Amino acid sequence: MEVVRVDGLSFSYGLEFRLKDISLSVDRGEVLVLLGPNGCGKTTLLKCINALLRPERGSVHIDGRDAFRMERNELARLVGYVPQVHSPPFPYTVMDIVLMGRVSCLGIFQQPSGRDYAKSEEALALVGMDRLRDRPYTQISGGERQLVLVARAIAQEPKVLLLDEPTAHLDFKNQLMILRMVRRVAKDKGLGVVMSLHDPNHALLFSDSVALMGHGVVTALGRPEEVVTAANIKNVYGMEIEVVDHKKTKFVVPLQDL
Amino acid sequence: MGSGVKWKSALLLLLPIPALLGSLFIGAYPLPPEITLQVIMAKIASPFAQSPWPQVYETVLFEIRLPRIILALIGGVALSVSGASLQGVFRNPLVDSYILGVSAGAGLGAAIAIAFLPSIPGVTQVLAFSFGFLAFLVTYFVARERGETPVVSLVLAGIIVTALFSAALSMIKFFTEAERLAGVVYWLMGSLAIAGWREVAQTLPAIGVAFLIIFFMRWRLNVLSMGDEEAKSLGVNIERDRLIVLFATTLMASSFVSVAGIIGWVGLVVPHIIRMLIGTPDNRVVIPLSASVGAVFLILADDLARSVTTFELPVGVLTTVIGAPFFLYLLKRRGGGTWK
Repeated sequence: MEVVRVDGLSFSYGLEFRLKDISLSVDRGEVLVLLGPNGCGKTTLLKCINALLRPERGSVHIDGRDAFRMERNELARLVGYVPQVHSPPFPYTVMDIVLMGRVSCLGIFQQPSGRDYAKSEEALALVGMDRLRDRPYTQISGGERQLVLVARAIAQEPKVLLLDEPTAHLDFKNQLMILRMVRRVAKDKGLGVVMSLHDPNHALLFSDSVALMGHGVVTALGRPEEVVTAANIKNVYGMEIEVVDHKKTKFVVPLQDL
Repeated sequence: MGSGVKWKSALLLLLPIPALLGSLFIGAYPLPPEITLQVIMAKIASPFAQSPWPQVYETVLFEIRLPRIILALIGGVALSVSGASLQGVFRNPLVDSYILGVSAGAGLGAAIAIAFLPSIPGVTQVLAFSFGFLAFLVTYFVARERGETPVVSLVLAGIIVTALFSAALSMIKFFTEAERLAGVVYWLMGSLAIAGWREVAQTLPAIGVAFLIIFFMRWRLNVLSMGDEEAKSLGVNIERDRLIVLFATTLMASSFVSVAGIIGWVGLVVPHIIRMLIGTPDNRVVIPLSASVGAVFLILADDLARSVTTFELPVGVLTTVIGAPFFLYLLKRRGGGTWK
């Protein structure tokens, strides 16, 4: 079942087009990776899907409903957004941060209840961060923070998860851990996932489909091994690669010195 | 929350009661403590009974000292709660209720009243409040662009509005004769000397309502402090919620400033003390505790103001003299402050 549908979406800052005629869709339990060089419009597209930016043309439907005709709290009950790891101005505890995921279900003058705590505990446990619940969020590692932000998005009980470069600033092991976690959560909870990534190998390992982007357009869309090919990569990144097989998994290997 | 935090919180929440009662013993009129105690006990036991001691005792305690202490309490709540809320909204622990231009506006309003309309009773308060609020509105609408009011724009607009209102204030000072100029200068220093039940009645309703609004939004302040985009993603109508908070804080600050003049540093220092003592920035704890500790802070500062010397010291100067070095001490001790 389709949970995200983007149709003919174009977005511009002033005169310059940043996204041109983008169409894609994501089903329940499916992980779609946006792949492409810096400045190709991945983050802009994620923000359009999350209705933070209003496109010039085209539409975004979440679970069949127009994303731009919903109140923010309605949309937040359908879409969980995981920003890049950040450091907030106040040292809230991990639990305080995850609890914020419940705000869309609460009235303006309401305080979180036991039920909201339970949902947040559950989300923390799901990403394996429950042991850090009372630690200041500002004092845990980058990888742990990213997982906490994923937990917060899950506490929203959404149908769609958007992640903006969840591997940025993480070490080798944490990158793989977070991607594995996202994929598992997507399957377990039946969430549609859209995430932007930099490494084509990560896309090959952890996605169900890939949208390859360059200069604001989707140049290739489909199953990872169909999209991540030497020709497509050259087209977007301008570099020679070879896709090799290793124990039934495909890997991208750069061929020339940059 | 650990049980240690709960105990500390309970203690801090109760602190205004001894501060209020104890302050009744302090003042210029020489009233022996044991008499004061008797008068208070008798009043508590039967509030409307005829008292056996001279009328002046009751007048000093219940018409002069008590309203003043209560006004200090209200003001402490108003300044520290608005400071704590704005620190959340602006994501900056170094912000207080004056960032939106409220003090500059109120100062100008009061100066106009004192310099040009001295014969009309109550006009100082009315103009100080109106100009304080006006300054906020100008700041807000200058910062607003295409239906959005980003934090950065608000800060910049606040600085601009403060500069303009301060310049106008200087102009008025320049053209004011010496005697009235002294009145303007004294007002700007902040004082609770004029406090009576009338001032309590003037400020309590607005500050009370605004405080309740903030009190019930205290958890939401946590979410607002994560920044516009993140708060939106989490499902917050950021423009609406922020406007409500800004409105409530301005209402609190300008109501109090209108009767007491400009009293600085309370809104900045008190929330910090709370975050350090309790060890959490969670506004569900910080807001109520800022209210009680802010009240205590201003009550005690005012006790000093009216007892250290034979004449009244401006309490606004005292809060700065106590607050600024204390703040410096906190910064040095924590090596950059609690927010790191």
